[in-house]
Amino acid sequence: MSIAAGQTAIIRILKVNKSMLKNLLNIKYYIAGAAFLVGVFLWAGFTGTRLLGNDTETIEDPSGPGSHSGRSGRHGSRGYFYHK
Amino acid sequence: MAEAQPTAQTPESDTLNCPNCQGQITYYDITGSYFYGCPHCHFYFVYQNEGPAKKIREFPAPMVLPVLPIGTEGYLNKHWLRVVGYIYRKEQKGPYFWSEYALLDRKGVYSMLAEYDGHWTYIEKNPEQDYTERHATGKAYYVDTPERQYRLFNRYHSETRFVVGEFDWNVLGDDQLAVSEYIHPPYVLTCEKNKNQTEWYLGEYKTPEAIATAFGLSTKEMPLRKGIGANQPSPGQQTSKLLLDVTIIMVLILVIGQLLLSALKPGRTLHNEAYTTTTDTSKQAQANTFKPIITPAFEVNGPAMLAVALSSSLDNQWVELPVSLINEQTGQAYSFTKVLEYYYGTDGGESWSEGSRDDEAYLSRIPSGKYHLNLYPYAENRQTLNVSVQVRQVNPLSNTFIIAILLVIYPVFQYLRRRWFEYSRWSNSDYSDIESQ
Repeated sequence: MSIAAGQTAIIRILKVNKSMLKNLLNIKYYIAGAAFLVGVFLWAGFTGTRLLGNDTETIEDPSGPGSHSGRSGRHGSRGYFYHK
Repeated sequence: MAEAQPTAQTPESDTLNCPNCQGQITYYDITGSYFYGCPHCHFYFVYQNEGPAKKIREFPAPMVLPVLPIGTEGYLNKHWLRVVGYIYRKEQKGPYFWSEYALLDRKGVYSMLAEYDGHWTYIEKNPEQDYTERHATGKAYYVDTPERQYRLFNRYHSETRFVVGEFDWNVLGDDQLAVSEYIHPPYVLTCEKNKNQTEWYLGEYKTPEAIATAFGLSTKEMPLRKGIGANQPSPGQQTSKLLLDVTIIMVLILVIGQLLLSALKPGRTLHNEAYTTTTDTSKQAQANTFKPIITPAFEVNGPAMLAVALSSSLDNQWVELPVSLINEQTGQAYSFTKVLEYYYGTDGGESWSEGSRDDEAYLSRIPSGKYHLNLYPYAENRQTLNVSVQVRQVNPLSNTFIIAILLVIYPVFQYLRRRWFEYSRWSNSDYSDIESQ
């Protein structure tokens, strides 16, 4: 390949990359949002989190300051609930 | 795009007097122009080789004034251009009007700028190019060029309604041409054909903002865009392929992530056993309660999500199952309640059932440790029941599906938007397949 042909090829690649970069910038918000979603997915996977919701109604920690409610329980617990 | 530039290096101009009103006409293509439209009296004439001017037609006062006045200079597609002529045309067989501006560059080469309903197209002659139209199916006709494929959008004959400025051809002769327009937005390939010759022109869509910037005008002076232009690019057309590629990459990362999580934290069953409820006969027991069910201990490799599946041998009854997952080292308790109810019977010969004998609970972010479950069954009439309990450590596919759905919402929205846009575009064409779809 001659030097001129090589230069032409480099210029063509640079032009393509410049155009691709411009198009990437046009969808930068989608790319950022998609990267965030994939990050959320990995975080949920490694922490054992279910994104659709959790049936835990209360978490009682005997060593902590007191119990606190969990999220999205479908049925309310009854007043007679007791521990073994 | 560069702003309109000063006139320091513009080609020289000259003047002539209109043979009808003697008004002064400035012209810029000193050696090339022979046909002139007087801006004062709308007299269209030919003036050639210093000979006497010859009237061709006298037009009535224009219905529409040119947005770009004759003599306006601008920069379009990195070329210096000057508006030297204006033609107002109409389709012979339809109420469709548009404007054409003749542009002259420094080398004396003409190009055109067409405006229809606020949609602009910059058109250059495609010299020494000859293409062949090919019929595919139905109303689909195509022209293939080395760069892209164009599809027939419109065929018509034009009728000139008004002319002003200078031209190197008789614009009224264009009324004899059969014009075919083939589109591949933002491009349009135009074929002008008469008995003797065929000429091809290549156009590219321009936004009103681009034209205003090119000719140093305010966007407020530009005609409002109506509808969808024949060669107007659809929204997101330029980035559609890249958007698809990025979406595929993100979904692939998601799938790889799911496989990785499954390998690092494989799903497994921690406990699976069936129990029979025993009535609590102690004095402090409340009505309808059973003795608590306490499962053996099981090991959780956390942080993990646990799925607790509960089922019972219900027979037209209900059972409420408050459940606690107890960490045997720390005493921390994760509590939830499930109510199972199952009723069935026949009504008028039709069998029916409602409710379910089983249900599942999901507990997120359970730390590592040794756990057991306490169940406190509560049922009507203290009828003895079988209760099955299965505890599984899981990697929920629901997470993958939710994220995948969220990832494709925007690309799908863009795709549907483009489809609607194309539908609207082709509904303006006599050569679309919309009716036959």
